[in-house]
Amino acid sequence: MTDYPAIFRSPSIPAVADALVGRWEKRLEDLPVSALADLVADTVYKERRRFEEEAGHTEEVADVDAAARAVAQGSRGALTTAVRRLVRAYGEEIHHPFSSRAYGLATRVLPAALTNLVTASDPRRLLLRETDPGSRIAIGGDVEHVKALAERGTLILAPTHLSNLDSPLIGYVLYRSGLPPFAYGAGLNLFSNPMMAFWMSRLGAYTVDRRKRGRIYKETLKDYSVEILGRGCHSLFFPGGTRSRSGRVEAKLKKGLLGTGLLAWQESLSNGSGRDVFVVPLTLSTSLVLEAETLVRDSLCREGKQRFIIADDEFSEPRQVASYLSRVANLDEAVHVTFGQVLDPVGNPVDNDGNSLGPDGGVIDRKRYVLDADGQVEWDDQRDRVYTERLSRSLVRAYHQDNVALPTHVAALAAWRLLRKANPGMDTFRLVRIARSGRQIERGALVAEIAGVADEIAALRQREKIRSALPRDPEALLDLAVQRFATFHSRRAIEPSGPRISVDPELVLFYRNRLHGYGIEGADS
Amino acid sequence: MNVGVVGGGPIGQALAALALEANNEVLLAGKRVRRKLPLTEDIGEVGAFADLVMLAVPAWELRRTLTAVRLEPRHRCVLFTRGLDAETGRWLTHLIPALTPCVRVGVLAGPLVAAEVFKGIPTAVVAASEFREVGRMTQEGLHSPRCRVYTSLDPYAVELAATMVGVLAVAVGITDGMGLGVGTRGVVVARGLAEANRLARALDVDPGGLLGLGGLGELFAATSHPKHPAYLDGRALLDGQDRKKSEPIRAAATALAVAKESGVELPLTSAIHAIAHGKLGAQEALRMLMERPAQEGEL
Repeated sequence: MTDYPAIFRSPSIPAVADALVGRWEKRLEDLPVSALADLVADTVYKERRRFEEEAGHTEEVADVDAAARAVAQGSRGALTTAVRRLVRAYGEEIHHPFSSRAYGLATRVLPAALTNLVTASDPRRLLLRETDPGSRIAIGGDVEHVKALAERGTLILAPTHLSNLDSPLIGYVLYRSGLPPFAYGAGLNLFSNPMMAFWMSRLGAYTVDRRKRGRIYKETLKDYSVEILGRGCHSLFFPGGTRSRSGRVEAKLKKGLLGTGLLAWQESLSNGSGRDVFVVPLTLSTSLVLEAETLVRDSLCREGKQRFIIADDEFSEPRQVASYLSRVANLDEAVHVTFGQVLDPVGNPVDNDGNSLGPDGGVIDRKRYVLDADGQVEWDDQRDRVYTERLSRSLVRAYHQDNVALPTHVAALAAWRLLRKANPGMDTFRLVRIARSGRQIERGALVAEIAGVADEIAALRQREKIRSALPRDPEALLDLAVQRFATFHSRRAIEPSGPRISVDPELVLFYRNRLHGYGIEGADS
Repeated sequence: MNVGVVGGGPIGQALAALALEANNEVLLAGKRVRRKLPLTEDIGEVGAFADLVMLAVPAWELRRTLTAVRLEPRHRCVLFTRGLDAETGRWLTHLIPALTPCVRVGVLAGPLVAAEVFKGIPTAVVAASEFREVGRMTQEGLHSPRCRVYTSLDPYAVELAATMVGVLAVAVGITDGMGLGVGTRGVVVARGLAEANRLARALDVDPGGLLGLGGLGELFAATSHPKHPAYLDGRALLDGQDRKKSEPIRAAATALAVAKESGVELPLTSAIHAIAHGKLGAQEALRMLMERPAQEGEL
């Protein structure tokens, strides 16, 4: 595995900052002074609110104060200088040069590192453990297809997202599949663990600070993505934006970063490099989710009260992470990672030779989606948003098709259906808080319901709407689910209690949600 | 710009004539066209020629037409076709990217009366697409001193409105044929719009389209024009003629199926469908509609 040329050549921090400032200078040329002042004022306002919430931003405060003075002065020159200064600072925070040495070391020890990545305080410890998580991870889909396209263009890897452990998991899967490394945006909070920061910053992670809400920052982040994709650097984004709080497979995606693939491709057509950009759906299905208890509780908060960033979940407890990893590592095929059909930036499927395919399977000339009759790129933001919406629909379809139904999901759905039947008219919020006496289910009824759900999954699978890895016998399926649920969480989602089964409605809801969106939820989903 | 029109019926010819007036190169695919228009019998030739393709074919011919026209990624395509896709119950505009590589699609609707177009009478249409450039190009394709082209970014609102208007025009044809008064016509139009409004909401579509050129504008023209095809369908039904295959009756069947799935009642549309399929006489349908339980609220 030596094929990491683009990311290996990743430029220095000042070079990237210069490129980002250059993009802004071009953008500001056509902007009226009043709009420029609004833009800077927006950042000043949002950054100062952020400073009020958290302390310790000395350098950043100076940049923002300078921007505030520029707004007060109001001249184009002062405002442009302020934008340059902010963008340079953002660029320096976002970019980390890739280290081939760190990558080489990490990939040699990654099987062990996956278990230790988050908890080790000393890099040398990485070499000590020999657990191989590989046997627990089932990699599905056409990896050769993805590899072939990695040779022909720049890839955007677009995974589903449930856990902070997804990034190291994906890093490991890429390595084991013989795929090149990918740059990925990691939340600034993840860099607070020095060990994580050390590795992530050298393995292609760039910093995303989701607390920065100003337009200048958001645009700079997108510019950065366009910039590195244009330099041929494969990139990973979680298009759901954040971990799925409800446990559902992503149905709505954030279009901002996703759209940068289309922009980078058009830039390459415009500057003559002609380098293609392809989008790879990656669907993660896990029997257990480390942060399930926190995530589902957050998802049950009424609209507006959910936390965009959760800093105090199971992931922030190294001991819990270690316990999760070591226990999950003892489960058979606990994790399924499935590569989907690769797409072009408009959402069409792509063959191994990099050709886009139309609905009839014929090769189509995708460049004509963006070029005019003279072969020049027609820049059109509004059109690109609709194209990106189309791409996002293709991704969502792929996520659902490539999702693997596992025993914990099926048992949870069956249990939830029985709870619903026993409590007609009760909405989800009341059902998860149902009294202890209402949390008991007859084992026989649950097994029968599991058999029903498994049949429905089999029918969906027949139509290629979902994948599954389930034992045929519903009793065996229930036993497997019970055993897996007993592995990690502080509470048991489903647990035998004498002749009956006791359920935890919150956790059952979370795991059942993985099968949401297939029309098998039962009444009142 | 090169504008291709597929569909040699009155609407296709009217669109081709308007595109010529708007100073475009035009090619119309059709047979036996009476007027002097640049014509071809080869639909594929229109695809090769045009930047903007306008399709004015009946809904049930759309699939076959799309195969023949050979749309490509470079095309922008607008549909002047009413109804929902009978096979999927989905929007007809969705059929184009589902069957061809062309994704920049939209819908064209409005009170376009072909005979008036050929007399040079002023008119207006709406071009609705999620892609702003499709609206802009349709303006370039049709806008002239006597044809105004408005644009919208909500194709579904326009598509639904145009679909339901055809059904309502049939209803007005029936009530007129029964010799009922203008008051009854007013009731049919208002209650018809109310049920279209319910369907729009159930499908999460902006009911505002019903008040636009493709909704009220077209409905007013259709019900005031004794030769409007949908209106004539209504009259023909009263005479016992078979109109099951006409565009608005097929549209009614699909709308009812979609409404049933969404839990919405469409009493007027149901009545028209029943009359067209010989399950109810017009008088009986009228009685049943009038005897429905009294209701609170208008919508």
